[in-house]
Amino acid sequence: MLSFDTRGPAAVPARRDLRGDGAVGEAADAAAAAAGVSLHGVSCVFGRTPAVRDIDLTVANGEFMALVGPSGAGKTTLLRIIAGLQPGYEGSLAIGPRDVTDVPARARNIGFVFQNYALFRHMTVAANVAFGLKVRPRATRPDRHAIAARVAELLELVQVAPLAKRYPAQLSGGQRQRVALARALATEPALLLLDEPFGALDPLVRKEIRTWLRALHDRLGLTSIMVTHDQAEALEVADRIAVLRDGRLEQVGTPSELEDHPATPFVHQFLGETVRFDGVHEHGRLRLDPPWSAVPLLGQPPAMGEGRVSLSLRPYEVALRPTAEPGAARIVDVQRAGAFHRVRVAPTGDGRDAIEVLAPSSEPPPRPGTTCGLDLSRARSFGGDRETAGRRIAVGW
Amino acid sequence: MSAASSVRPAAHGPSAWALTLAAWGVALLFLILPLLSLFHEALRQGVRAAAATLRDPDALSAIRLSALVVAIVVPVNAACGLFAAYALTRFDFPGRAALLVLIELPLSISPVVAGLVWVLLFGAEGWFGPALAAHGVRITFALPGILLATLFVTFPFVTRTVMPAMEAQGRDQEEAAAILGAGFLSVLLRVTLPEVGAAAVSGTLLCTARALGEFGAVSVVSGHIPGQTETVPLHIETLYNGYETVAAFSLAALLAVVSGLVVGARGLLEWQGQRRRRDDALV
Repeated sequence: MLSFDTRGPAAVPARRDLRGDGAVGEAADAAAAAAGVSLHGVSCVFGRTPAVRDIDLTVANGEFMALVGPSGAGKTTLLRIIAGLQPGYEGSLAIGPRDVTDVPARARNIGFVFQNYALFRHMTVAANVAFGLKVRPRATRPDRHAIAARVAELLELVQVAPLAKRYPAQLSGGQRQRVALARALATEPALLLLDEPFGALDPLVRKEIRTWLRALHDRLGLTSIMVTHDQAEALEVADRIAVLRDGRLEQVGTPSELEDHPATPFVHQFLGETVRFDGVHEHGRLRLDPPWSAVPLLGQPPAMGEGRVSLSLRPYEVALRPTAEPGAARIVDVQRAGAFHRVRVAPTGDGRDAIEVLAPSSEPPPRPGTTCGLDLSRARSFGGDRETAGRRIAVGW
Repeated sequence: MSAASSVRPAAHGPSAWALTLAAWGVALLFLILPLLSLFHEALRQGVRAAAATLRDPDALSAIRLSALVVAIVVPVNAACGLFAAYALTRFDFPGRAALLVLIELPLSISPVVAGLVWVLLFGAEGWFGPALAAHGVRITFALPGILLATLFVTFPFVTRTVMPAMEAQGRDQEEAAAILGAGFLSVLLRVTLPEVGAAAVSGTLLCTARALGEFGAVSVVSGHIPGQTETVPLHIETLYNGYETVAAFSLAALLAVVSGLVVGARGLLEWQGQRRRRDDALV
């Protein structure tokens, strides 16, 4: 799939080539330096509503970070703050060793891929890519031939070389995306920011470009921050994921950290489908709230705080065990869904308040009408006395 | 085939034909026929006679003055109009809505009133007139007054044609340019203006046509002094009132030809724009 792997010497990282001819002194030095990003106490207010509140975030050099969250969570605002497109924020921001809090966007040397690509419509693909080099002050501007060579190299890199003379209106979505990326990389930024980069692409192209982008990131040694509302995309591409909610940072971690130890029910729910139970945990015994209070509990999470707790599980983590005890839950219906059986189970006989769980299809499915108890031992628990000190439980849950 | 035919369905059926005929009939009756009669009147005594009237010193002076007014007013208004459109589409500031209405004022206000305003301000009996006169500055009945009146009347054209284009363009491209290292001027010259270039030229041509033809406002402030403060439209009126029919119609024909060229250039520009858009859509 990744065709640049087969192209041999032409595929050496582009930035090194340009640095070799000595045309770009300062930018190359910046690229050579450590390129992580660190934000301290960053807040931004739109009118009276805070869009981003008190964010502390560090992105390591060479890391691919995804900013995820529901719409309105402030992820694009945060990206624009890092890019320098959002004036009037508080806190401090450093790119590599350099504090850029008060540095304007044009002097930050960042590559930015806009959601709709924002290509210059009146310029050819080649002119778009050359733009960042052409607008440099005379002293650091490469000569015409160096620019042309660099543009050709970049278009080759993003695999759209034959389209150099086209105008953006004549390109497909995937091609525009690649051109936008080439344009962003032309100035050899150490940091690449991507705002919903796959949002406008159809699903097939999306998957391909996603894999390709991640490989490019690794090959060029970039530090990348990507905004997306699609958690699956983030899980697939990113080294670490920062989950934002209402302008606050809910949790930052690797995909498996977030999956295994979500800080809040919200994080767990945002990263995938969840089933949720509330209850009270006292003296080592868990009692679920109605309507599940009478259902026999055949297993509970090993480590749980005392007091009110919330349990959150993936649908395939809820285990159903046949039981004839009084108050047992009842299987409403069963459907085959790929590798799983989709089982609807209700706490009472009348089938109300049913939840959906997934049972591996390798095992015989429970029969509708039979009764069962719940094994919730694989649940993440939130709340409880032990937990409340350090963790926020969102209101409304 | 025109570009429009690829967007609009071609006319079909008797009702469509009737409509087409009616449209052309109206155009013939109210636009083309008067123009033809104008040229007919102008050339009634032959091309030579018509050309001779244009060499009259007063006519030449009027032509020179009109050219001068256009040469000054159009660039000033193009620059101011672009700036106003930029400010109004790119920034939110107190009084923005009021400014939007104010910019349209010259379109809705009678040109005569617009002229009178300047007389009130700068005339011999006006608010600032005596003070300026004391320093030897003359506004009304002189070139500055004519310029001010024309500027006022033609101000909305560039702004109003450029604003929708800038609005449609959005900020994304400018932000992309800024991130790529372009300074304000570079963004303006390389990204913003080229994108709205066609609209700006179109607005400028409209502004030119209007500046050439403006009568009311200029008539009030200029004082109608033949050979000194008469622009072409004013001189045409003077000639006509003096029963110099051939001279009046010759000058009018000249004005019509020049305005026609300006409007034609604008039409050509739009036609090309449409063709380019269609080509883009085809690929």
